[in-house]
Amino acid sequence: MNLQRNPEIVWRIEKRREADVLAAMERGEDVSEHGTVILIANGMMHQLNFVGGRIWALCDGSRSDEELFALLSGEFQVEAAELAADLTEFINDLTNREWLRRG
Amino acid sequence: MKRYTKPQVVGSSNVH
Repeated sequence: MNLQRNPEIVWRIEKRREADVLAAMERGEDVSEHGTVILIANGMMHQLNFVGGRIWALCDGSRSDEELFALLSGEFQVEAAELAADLTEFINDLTNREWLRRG
Repeated sequence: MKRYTKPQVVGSSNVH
């Protein structure tokens, strides 16, 4: 079953913020705590960092976990084992929050 | 290739 976002969640990519973060990333700055995607669920606003936002945007129900992994490993400089562990942890976190589901 | 950071929720705040 492919991952898909909870349709009740309002979200968007903050384009200007994302551009700033990408530029900072290229300069080698630590952007791990910078949010580039905002989402609103149950009266709370949450932010995802750039990699989290990329994963979130890809979870449209059309991709298997393997496809997600392949896309991310092609986009980012990261060891496969590290990415696999982080991806699993992130997906579990968002699934527990009921932001993502298997559809 | 972009630099990698661990994907995470980085902030939450009350809308109201």
